Amino acid sequence: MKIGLRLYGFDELVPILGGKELEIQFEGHTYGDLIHHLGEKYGDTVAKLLRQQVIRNSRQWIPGNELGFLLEDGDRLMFIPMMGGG
Amino acid sequence: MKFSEEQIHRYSRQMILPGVGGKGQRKLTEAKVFIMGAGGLGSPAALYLAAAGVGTIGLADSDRVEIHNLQRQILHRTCDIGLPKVESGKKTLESLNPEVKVQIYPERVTSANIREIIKDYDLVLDGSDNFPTRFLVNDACYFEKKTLISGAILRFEGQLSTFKPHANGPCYRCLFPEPPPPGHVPSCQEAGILGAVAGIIGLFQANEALKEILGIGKSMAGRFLACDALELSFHEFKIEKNPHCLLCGENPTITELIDYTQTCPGPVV
Repeated sequence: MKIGLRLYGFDELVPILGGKELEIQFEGHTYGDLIHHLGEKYGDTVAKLLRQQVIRNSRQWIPGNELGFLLEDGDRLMFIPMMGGG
Repeated sequence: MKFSEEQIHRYSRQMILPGVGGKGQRKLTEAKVFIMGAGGLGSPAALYLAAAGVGTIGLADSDRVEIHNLQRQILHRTCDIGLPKVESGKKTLESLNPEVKVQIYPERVTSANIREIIKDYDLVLDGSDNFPTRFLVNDACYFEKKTLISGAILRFEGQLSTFKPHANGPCYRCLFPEPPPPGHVPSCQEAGILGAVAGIIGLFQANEALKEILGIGKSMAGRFLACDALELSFHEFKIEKNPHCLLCGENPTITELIDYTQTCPGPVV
């Protein structure tokens, strides 16, 4: 499956992933499979930090704990970090 | 209620706006807004709400003013260092608009007191700087059926939304079910914050509060705004009630307030 990723924030991951936007090819069907793939390819830190909220195709919110959420080929995911600063 | 000549002068630039007028100004005068945190977000929000003539502003913060706050927390001045932030904030707001009643809460807000504190307010603005408070404020607003205008910031980015689960909208937990484990999300203290970003998001919160009070414009309920100030780009997303939400979903497991532990965040590695 091929997925487009866009990071919103996550400045510390940009040098590891090589940019704020990238295409990822991985085996699997779920958001959890994607996170697992990112962990194997880029390391546990990436998988840990990106296990957060995702906006799918600019309209569907996937909370970070819904790892079984089914993705589709061509989906575009925007990762939204939790922010606690005030 | 009749406005004095001074009040008409003070508020004239907004009273001539369609949707405000004398009727809207009266709504503002009678409104009670609670602001959690007199920091980077709470400062600009409180200043603009006071300037607009919001009748009662509640300000809660248990911290004292420190010099590193002054880069963004514009309620406070250098001479206020060492003062409780709520006292410094009250002094600034009252000097801006003596008509505004400022209620201060210098004590730590917990599950034991938050419902009692917010119950008499019409709206709650969250400008807190930690996740335990954010979840506590959200849950208390849900149980008290209060509209919550939530802002958050980090580095060069900010987020904004309005939560009205009592009007069938999502709550904060619909998006963020649980606080992140320690070390997963950096704080402003660790990662930094550009002061003007706090200003942008805090003013958006004030703007949404004024709209909610006046009943004008399009509410941010059901919408989530993410702002990247470096690119100056804004992304808006539609958000919906999460049927699996632990608090407001179909089978809620959270039935009372929780005091999450304020853990010292570890390094983000």
